[in-house]
This record gives sequence, structure tokens and C-alpha cells, in this order.
Amino acid sequence: MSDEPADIALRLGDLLIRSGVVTIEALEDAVVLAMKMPMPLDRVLGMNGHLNAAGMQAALQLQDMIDSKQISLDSAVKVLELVALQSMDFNTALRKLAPGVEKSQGKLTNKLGETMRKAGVVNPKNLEQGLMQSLNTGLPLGMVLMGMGAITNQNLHSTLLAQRLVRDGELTPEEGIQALRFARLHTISLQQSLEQQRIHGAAIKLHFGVGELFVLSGFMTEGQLLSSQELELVEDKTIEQVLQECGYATPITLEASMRLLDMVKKGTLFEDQAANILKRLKHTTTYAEMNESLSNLGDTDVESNKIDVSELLTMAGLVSDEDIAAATPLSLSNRVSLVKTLQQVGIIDAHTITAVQDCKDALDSGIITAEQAVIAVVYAGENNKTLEETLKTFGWAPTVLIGE
Amino acid sequence: MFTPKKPPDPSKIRLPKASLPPGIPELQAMHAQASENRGREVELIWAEPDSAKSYSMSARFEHSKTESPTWTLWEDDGQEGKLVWKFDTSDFELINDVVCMLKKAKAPVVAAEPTEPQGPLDPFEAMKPKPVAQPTDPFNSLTPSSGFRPTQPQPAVQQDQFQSSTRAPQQNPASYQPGYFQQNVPEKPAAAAAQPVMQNPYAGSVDDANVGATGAPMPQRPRTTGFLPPFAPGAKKDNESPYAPVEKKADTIEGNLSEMPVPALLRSLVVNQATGKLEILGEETVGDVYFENGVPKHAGTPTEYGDGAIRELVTWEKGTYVFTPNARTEMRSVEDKLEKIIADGIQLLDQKRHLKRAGLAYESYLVRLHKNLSDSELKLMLTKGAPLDFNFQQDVYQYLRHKRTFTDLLRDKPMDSTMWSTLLFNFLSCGLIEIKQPDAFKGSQLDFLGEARSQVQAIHESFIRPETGVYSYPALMYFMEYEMHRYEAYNFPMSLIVFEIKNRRDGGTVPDVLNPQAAGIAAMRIDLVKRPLDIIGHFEAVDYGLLLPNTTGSSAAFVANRILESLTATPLIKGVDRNTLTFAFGVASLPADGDDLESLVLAAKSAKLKAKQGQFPIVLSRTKKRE
Repeated sequence: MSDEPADIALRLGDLLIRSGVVTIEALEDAVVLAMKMPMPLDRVLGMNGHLNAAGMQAALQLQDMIDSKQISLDSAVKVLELVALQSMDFNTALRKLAPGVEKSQGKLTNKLGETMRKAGVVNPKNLEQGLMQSLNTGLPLGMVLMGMGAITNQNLHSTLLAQRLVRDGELTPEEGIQALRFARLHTISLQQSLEQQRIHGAAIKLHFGVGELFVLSGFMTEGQLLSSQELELVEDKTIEQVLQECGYATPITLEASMRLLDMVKKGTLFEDQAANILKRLKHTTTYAEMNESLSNLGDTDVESNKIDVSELLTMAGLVSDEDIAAATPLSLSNRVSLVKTLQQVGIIDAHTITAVQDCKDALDSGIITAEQAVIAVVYAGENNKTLEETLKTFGWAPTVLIGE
Repeated sequence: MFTPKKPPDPSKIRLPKASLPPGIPELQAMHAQASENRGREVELIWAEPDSAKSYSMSARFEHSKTESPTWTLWEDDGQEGKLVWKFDTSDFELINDVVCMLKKAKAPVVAAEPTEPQGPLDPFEAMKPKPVAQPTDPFNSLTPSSGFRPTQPQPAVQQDQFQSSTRAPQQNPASYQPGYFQQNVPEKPAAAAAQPVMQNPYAGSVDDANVGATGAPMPQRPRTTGFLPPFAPGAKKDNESPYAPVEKKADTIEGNLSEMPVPALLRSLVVNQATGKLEILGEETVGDVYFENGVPKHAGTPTEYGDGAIRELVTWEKGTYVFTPNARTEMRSVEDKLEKIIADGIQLLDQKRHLKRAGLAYESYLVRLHKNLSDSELKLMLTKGAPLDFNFQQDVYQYLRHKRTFTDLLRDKPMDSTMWSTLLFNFLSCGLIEIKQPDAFKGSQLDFLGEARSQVQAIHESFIRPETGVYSYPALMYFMEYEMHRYEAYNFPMSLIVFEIKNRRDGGTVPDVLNPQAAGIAAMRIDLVKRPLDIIGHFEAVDYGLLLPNTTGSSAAFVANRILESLTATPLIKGVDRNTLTFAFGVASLPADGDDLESLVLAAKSAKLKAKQGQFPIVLSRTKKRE
């Protein structure tokens, strides 16, 4: 690249102008002055208070990244704004855009990505594309890679667990990588891998924490929890910080969660009861209100409209009103349940009945809503899956309760 | 009387005696001749100048079907013959290395000077194995007294390849000890700061400078920094690996795989009874092998560990390596004998080269050549391939009935590189699949139009609303009508998701449409989640519609759930996050919600309305009983 001010301006013009670092007129003036003096363009821009050396270096780096399709122009503009106008470090600015993403040795990197690459969970090309997408969409790398179809949910789950165990000193990085490799090649969970490889002395117990409670309360999905856990690890933050920053939690819901989890730990509450209480506290705006609710737990059942199985079948479009009308007299005369009658006359099959019954249980205990129940019943029926598998697919129940 | 001449040994083909050791062309010629005369030994003899020593190298294909001949190298010192090396290989570079090292093996003799300092000045000295009974043949010392014992004699090539030019005093050739990455031993105190460097066994020029043509010692130059072979740290030109060069520690030893192939590198560590970590930085990834007293203990690459990792490392032809002495691990994963693992690795390398030539890349499509092949036909065709479990091959072949990329295969059927290379090699060589280049490499499908392609592009752009970059409402309707024809003609289900995304600004209660910046990021996130064939467009005034061809309602609900997750996982932009955003997704499908477009659209709109009022932002419409 030529170092002539005019060439630099031509190359970086769009980026500099769009980021608001300099106006087109100011850039033209700076070029003329730089050629006249002669002085480097960044010095002239710096003298005029537009761009210092760090800003110019960032602009050049960003332009290279745009050229090599590592970043979109829009994202590059945002990074340059942060570096040039808010005097932010280049990598910190990148991390603002995409969690955990940094530029090192001319390449984009990410802590989670490196672990995945070392364990062969993701191939280098997909990782490169994933980092770029992460930068452009602001999504955590794990979610991006799942969206691209480069990794499975289990891959991400295992990698995050391995990273957490390494962070907490329960595994060495080497052991973590080996356990991940084994888990991947044998399509098993990380816990199973650790057990089979006898890497970890004691069995790893999955923790029912604040994130899991939020999933069970319907505040977030399992996929969103995984993303939050990823942010926790790559950004070195606590899960509570992440949940608050991403808008899943308020200080009040967090405080309530801690107290409810404490009750679960002591055996005062079951997990689903705690989740139901938390649901009620979702819109609480004062600590006094929260304290009042928690000191008077009363009925922990979910406040939902009770839906019976036949209603759920109708909502899911599995039986029509005519089917119900025809089966009801038969059910009464034979003294068998309506659902059993519907099965006997061949309108629904046993698999569907099991799924619907399970769904109703999940609905009654407040794990899912009626809308989710309809989707789950239809999905389970169309894809020949159990409710458990369906909830796992949709991420509507925490893995810790339904198994990895 | 005429005495008949003794007939030549029919089992042996003797080549004319040479005055110089054979080079690669001669070795290749021997290989070719042995291949043409299977079962017969092709022998070449050469003598060492100014010495009573002579060497005999022979190649022989034991059986009619063996792929590699058995190479045997004998040394005769005028009194008795000794087997130096025996190995089955077709790797000419390896054999050449062995031959080259015969010459190098003399280096200790000439370098040994009784005046050189005594004692363990070498910082690695403590790690070195204790001297064993001094063999008369330097190659005998290749078999350590303890630890790893190769089943076959080890190639001489590794014997002193890491040794520096200045060695600990050695009395005679027999006193040669396997050099454990010896450092330069300074001759003068001033040279104490000399950096540890490795000697490249292949880099003859510098090393040979110490040895005259007759093998007599040449005057030694003063050494202050040690000599730098081409692959020693100071001589390294550039790092071929895309990864960051490993920070060089004072006691690490580095080199380049182009100069020291992995098999030779591994063997040398065995010979030198090394303890430490060998890290290999390949073109894309990093692998490591831990040695303890010359025994490989644990190995890992991103895709494998243990024996499999070493096999894979053998296939790495480009990159650099770093050896860190004394680095240890508690892990133990290497089980088989190193020579066997290396031999398997070389076979793997051949398969990978074949696949690479066929164009295999992560994005490549693996396309079946036969649509309807019975199990017995498949079994028959696979008989030509390398041995591999048939059920596994059958399972993967079934999996490939849909259009799959290599990445898809590795994600859905995780397997190590030993497995996939043999599998795909079999499929390819048995005429079961072809490897197709991914679309991304080909560019647009319409590239063949040339200039006319821009006209097509212009039509496409006219469908898009410039402020958001997604299709306009009329364009979405146009595509829906088109998809409807497919539904009617082929009974393919189709789904429509109608959704709204709104944002409450500054704590307000009335949500507003997203600003263009947030909408742009939302569109990118949705693009990541949806399939390329799904069409997103504006729906009526402020909503969006996503048309999903050949998709049932419940699968469309799954997509809606993924979209919801991606839009709320992290803030879209500062201040636009899950707390401020409101969503409503109405999902409808044909035939579950009717038989025409109007029913589909109405059902989706109605479901979206319910989603706005309900407890969960996604509602699946089920207005018609399932058939």
C-alpha cells in the first residue's frame, strides 16, 4: 500500500467519514496539508483533533479486515467510533461488538473458539467464519456456530462445561480438551466422557443455579442460557452480571432467585415450585414487594388456566370438535375416558396420547405455557419424539433437569 | 579343465558396486526393480572411502501384494557384518535419510577431542540417559537399555540429528551415546552464553564442514553461538503455520517439518531417549506428543489423541515444531508401538493425498453416484476398498443420500481422521461417491450468463426495500404465490411466520418499530438462523413475514423459537435488549391451516395476534384438523 496521504485517504475515506471521525471536507483539507508540509496524514488529522495515531492504526487494521471480509463495513465503523471517539483500546472495542472476540497475530480469536478448535469440535474454516459472523451480528460465537450448523447443541454444552471446570481448577486444560475430544467422537456428554476416561475423580454434578431457574421460569430458553454462560466464560463475568446486562434479570429478580435457590438447596422448595414463585415476581418493581411475596409463599402452584387433555388435543388440531362429539357418548356408555375412546376408535395413537399427557403435566406444573404445549405436542407427533426430547430441542427446560 | 562359473544367486539381483552411497534416484530405481521382480532381493553395495567398511542396501517385496518393500541395510567393517536397519517403507526420503546419517554418524568421532571440557556443562545433561555399555556399532545404541524398545532396528537417521557440533568427549566411535538434544558445550568460558541449538541431520553443509572428505577432523572454528542449521531457531525464515509462533523459551528446540518430517522427528526422540513435549504447529492446527525417556506417552491433536493423534501427525507435511525438554504430563494415551503407528500414519497420508487431489475440502459436497444400490451391491463394491467395518460404511452411505457437505458428515457422524480418510477413500476409490466443489467456490449459479447476469441482479434488487435490505411485501407475496404452485403440484407443505419486533424507547410503554441500525442487525441474526431457501420480507406495514418452503408448522415454530433466541441472546444495539423488545410470532402452515394462500395468511395473522396477547410470544395456528 502506498503511504501517500491521498492514497490513504482514498482507502480509508468511507470508513473515516462514516464513523464520524472526520468530515469529507476536513479529510480533503488534511490531505492537501499533509502533501504540502509534507507530513503523515495521521499527524495532520491528529493536529486538527480528528484522529490520533492509535485511531489511524485502528482504521488501517479495520480496512484490512474489511478487505479480507473479516468484518462488515458497519461493524468496522462502530469499532472505529469506539477507538477514535471514545479512546478505547482496539481489542476492547472489538469485544464490545462481539463477546470475547479479539484480534491477535492478525487473526480473530476467541477463548471458546480456541478450546473448540483444539478439541476438534469445530474446523478452522467454520471457526473463522463464525468469528466474522459473531463480529457482525454481536451474537456469542457458540450460538453463531450452532446457527451455521457447524456444531451441535451438545458440542456447545460440553465445551462450556469443560471450560468452566478448567476455570474452576477441577480439570487441567489438557484434560478438558481430551475429555471433549472423547465426548465428541463418541457422541456422549462431557460427564460421561470424564467418567469413561476416568479423568475426573468424583462425578461432576450439574448445578441448578440462577440460569437454570430462569429457564424453568420461562425467562429464557436453554439456548439463551448457553449464550449467557458463554459470555460468563469469555468475558470473565459472573452469570448474574451477564443476565442483567442482557436484560434477562433485574436486581430484584436476581435477589429473589438467590433466596429461592437457597430454599431449594435446603429442601424447602422443589425447583419447579421455585420457578413458579419467580414467575410471579417477574414484574415486581420494589424490594418491599419482593420481600412480601417471599415471606408469604402460600400456594406455589402456577396460576394458569387448567386445560384438560381433550382440550389440548383440540388446540393442537389433533382432533376436531366432531371427533369429540362422536366419541363422548361412546366414552360415557363404555365408562372409559374420552382420550382412551379416541384411541380405541383410531383417531389418535398411543404415542400422541403419551406426548399429550406429558405435555399436560408440564403445563400443570408451570414448566411450559399453553402456547408452548401446543407446539410441543404437534412437534413431538410430527417428528416422532418424546416430550422430553422436544423440550430439549426447543430449549424450554433446563438440561440439568432433563439430562444433557 | 574348464570349471563352470558359480551361478548367481537366483533370489538376488546384484547391482554394480558403487563408490558413493545411493541417492534418491538410485533408491527409486532399486524400488522399481524390486517391484518388477517380486520375491527377489535387489542389492546395492558401496564402500566407505578410506575405510574397510562397506554397506549393503537391499530392497525386496516379500509377497506379490505387499505395497512397500522391505529395505535392509547391513554394515561390514571387514570382520563381521551387522544389521543396521530393516524397515518396510516406500518413503524414499526416509531411506535416504538413513543413508545420509551413515555419514553423519561419524561426526562424534571427528568432533571428539580429548581437550574438550569434561563434565556435564550441558543443562540437559541431567536429563540424559546414563551411558549404556558402549557398543562397537553406533547403531546398536539405538536400542535403549530401558524404556521403549523398538521391535525393529531404528533408522540411523535419528541418531544424532539433534546434537550440536560440539559434543561431550568421546573416545572412539563406540563411545557414541545417543545425544539428547545436546547443547553446544563451549570450549571457552566466553561461549557460555551459547544458545542451545539443534543440528540438522539433513543440512550437510555446515555439519560437513567439520569433516574432511576422508572423514578426518577439520580444524574447528571457535564457537560462540553455535552453528545454525537451516531449521535452527536463528535460521528460521518464517513461520509457515497460520498460528502464532510459540514464544521461544531458552531451552526449547525448534525446526521445520519440511526439513525434518514427522516420522523422522519422532524416531529421533525415541533414539535420543528424550523426555519432554513435542509440539507440532501444522497448517491449521496444533498437535503434541509427550515423551518420557524416549517413549511416546501421550499425544493429542484437535481431532484425536493417543495412537490416532500420532498417526495424524505423521500426515502433517507442512509446519514447524518445538520441543520443550522436561515438559511432562500425567496423561497416558499412546498404546501401540511407535513404528506400527508411523506405518499406519504413512498409509493414512496416502489416502489423504488421494482425497485432497480429488478436491476434498470442509465445504465439499459428498454426492452419491448410485441412487438405488442394494446392500449386497454396496458390499460387493466395497470389497475393493481398505478394510473397514461394513455396517459403519453402510450407515454413512445411507446418510449421504441427502446432499451433505464434509462438515455435515463430521458434525452428524463424529469420527477421527483415521476413520474418515479410510471411509471416504473407500467410497471414492470404489466409485461410490464423487466430491463436488461447494457453491461458494463456484460463485453464482448464473455466472454462465456473463454480462446478462447484471439484468437478473437488477430484478432481484427491485424486490428489495433498500432501507432494510429485505424483500418488500409485494415481493414476498409473489414468492408465496409461486410456492403455492409447488404445494398444489407436489403436496409439499409450506409455512408462513408473520412476526413483529418492537422496541420500547426510553422506558416508554408504547412499543415502536426498530430503528434501522437495530433492524439491520436483527436481519443479520435472522439470516444466520434461517435456511438460504427461506424467504424473509416485509409483511403489510410494519411486520415481517418468513416463508418456509417444504416445512411443516411445528418445524416453522422451531425456526421462530430460534429467531427469538437469536434476537434476545445479547442486546441488538445498546439499549435495545430483551427488556425493551417485544415480539409476537404467528406460525401457520398448509395444509394444517387450509388449502389456499388466503387461509394461510389469515391463520398466521390471527396466530400473531394471539401471541401478542398470550403468555408466550410464539403461537402455532392449528385451524384445521390434521388429516
